[in-house]
This record gives sequence, structure tokens and C-alpha cells, in this order.
Amino acid sequence: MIWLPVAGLIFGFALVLLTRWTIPGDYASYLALAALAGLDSLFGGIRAGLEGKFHTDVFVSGFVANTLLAASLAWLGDQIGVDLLLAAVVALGGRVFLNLSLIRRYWLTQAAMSRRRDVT
Amino acid sequence: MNQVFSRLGSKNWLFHVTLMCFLLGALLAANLNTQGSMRQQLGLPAGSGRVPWLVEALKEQRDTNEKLKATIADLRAKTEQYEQELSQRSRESSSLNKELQEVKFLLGLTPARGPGVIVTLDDNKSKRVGDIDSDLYIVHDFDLRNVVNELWAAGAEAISINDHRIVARTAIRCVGPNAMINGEPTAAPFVIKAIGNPADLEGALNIPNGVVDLMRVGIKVKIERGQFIEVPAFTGATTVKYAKPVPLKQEGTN
Repeated sequence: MIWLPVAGLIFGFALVLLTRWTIPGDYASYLALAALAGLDSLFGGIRAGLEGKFHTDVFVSGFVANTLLAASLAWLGDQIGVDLLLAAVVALGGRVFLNLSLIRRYWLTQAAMSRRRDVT
Repeated sequence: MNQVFSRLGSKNWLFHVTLMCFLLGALLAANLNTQGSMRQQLGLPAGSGRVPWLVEALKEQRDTNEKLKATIADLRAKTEQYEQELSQRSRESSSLNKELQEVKFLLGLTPARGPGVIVTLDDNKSKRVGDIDSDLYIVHDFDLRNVVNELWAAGAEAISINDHRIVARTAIRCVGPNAMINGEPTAAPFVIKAIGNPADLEGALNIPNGVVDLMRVGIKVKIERGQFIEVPAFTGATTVKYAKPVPLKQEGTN
């Protein structure tokens, strides 16, 4: 079942890549930040799933709201002369790494547990 | 991870996660496209970070420019050699060549040497931003233009700024912290070399309330006289696209 989200990811990627859709260069950094926020939400979702706390509504609203908020906050920061883009990159990047390390830990624990179950 | 998600019971999540993954893929691809097109506009190779490549591209372009300039100087020297050889064939070609060399000298295509003055303009770094506009302490493009203009007016025959020859088509303008001369950036201190009557040139610059007098309020100005001042040849392009000479016949007929 895990292949379905992966297929969705690849499909979306290929679709936009092949249409060669671009946005004006001025907004490139906001788009990049939106993508980072999306990555953060996705890893957060996987982590929540591993912890057994996954809620679809939280995940979907978080994904949409985070991407939009990150981009618009960075834009607002540029308007008022504060580099909020950098702050968002640091915050989101930190969370991505934290989530990734937690995912790795859960996965390792589970692998160890299933191995023990096989032995006994 | 499969067994973890299947613990959740409901299968509804799979659809939503797939949808979000689809959106994320689209976002990433849009990013990739945008960054790629931006690189293309800047003429950078694909897959490169922006700033390091800009620096690299700039350096490369400068190296190329230097090489091309050397080639130009080389080719011009060769042309002159051919012209000399040709001129030895007959008296007509000899006098033609003499005229040609004169014209080239007037155009600034050959280095020039002679007596004149060396004017050095530099930013006044010891001054602080105070009640007077701090712009006064920086050498501007208009300062350079004023000095060059005054020197021409005083009878200078050849002028260069930081070894950029001033010719008929030279523009001196301000680009950020630099001055652009003949399309090449150069920065303070500016060494202006002018060939002409040293006394005339220095006198013209030093007229009370004249060019130098007004500049001295802010920036550092130094004027030296010299007997053997060398001004380099113009190394820029000499192509003319639009202007064409008017045939001599038509003169006076209308």
C-alpha cells in the first residue's frame, strides 16, 4: 500500500515537469519555501503515523496551511524588510531533520522488535 | 512502514496522503522548472547553485575578455606591420600609409607619449559622514567627466583614465561603486594621464572656482607634471553599424 503515495509523488512530479510550468523568477524563493513546508508536513505525517497519532484532517490541513503560510509569511517579510524566508528555512529545515531522525529510530526499533518476535 | 499505517484501521488516510504527495511532487517539479529557467536566463549550466556560478561566470568572462584584448592588440600590431610593408612598395602607398597612421593616432588606436600631467583622484576615506553630504567624499563619474572635459578644453591631445584610453566614443558613467569607462569597470583611485602642454593643462585645472577647486572640498586631488607620460592605445571595439560616411560629391550640392 505504501507504493500509492510514492506513485502519487512521482506522478505529480512528472506531470508538472513535463508541462514545463514555471512561475516568475521573483517568486521562485517563495515557491521553494512552499515545497520545503510540504516536505516538512509529509515527514511530520509519516512520523505521526509511526507514533500511531496520524489524523487525516490534521495532516491535510497542515500540509495546505503550512505551504501557503510559509510562502505568504516570507512574502510579507520581504515587504516589511525582515528576512522571514531565512527564519522559515531554519525552522522547517530543523523540523525535517528532527522528523527524519525520529522516523529512523521508530523504524529501527520496529525492525529489532520483529526480529525478536521471530526468534521466540 | 506499511504495517504501521495499516494499524490505523481506516483506509481513508491513504487517499489523502497520496493526494498530498501528488501536490508535493508538483511543487517540487515547479521549483525545479523555475530554477532551471532562471539559470537558463542567466546563462548558467543546469544543476548549479546560483551565486557561486555567477562568480564563476564573471571570472570566466573576464579571463576571456583579457585574452580577446590581447588578441586585438596582436592583430592591430600585425595590421600595422602589413601597412608598413605595403607602404614600402610605392610612393603613393607610402603617403597613404602616413595619412593612415596619423588618423589611427588621432583615433587613439596607437599608444601616445609626450609631456603632460597626471591627475590622481581618490576617495577621502579619513572624512566621516557629518553634516555635509557624504557623497562629497567619493569620486563620481561626473568628476571624471569634468576633469576630462577641462583637459580637452585646455588642449590635451591624448587622455587615459586608469589605462583606459579616452576616445571619441568613450562614455564615462557610474555603475554601482565603480566607474565604467569604455564599457569596463574601474574604481578609485583614478589616475588620469593627459598629454599636452603641462603648464596649460595644470593651469586650466587649477582655475579658482574651477573643476579641481570644487572637487577639493571633498575628495583628494593630486596634480603632477611629467615629461614622458605614456597613454595606452584604445583596445575596445571599433565596429560601426549604422553611420556611413557621406560621399564627398554631395557636399555643397544641396
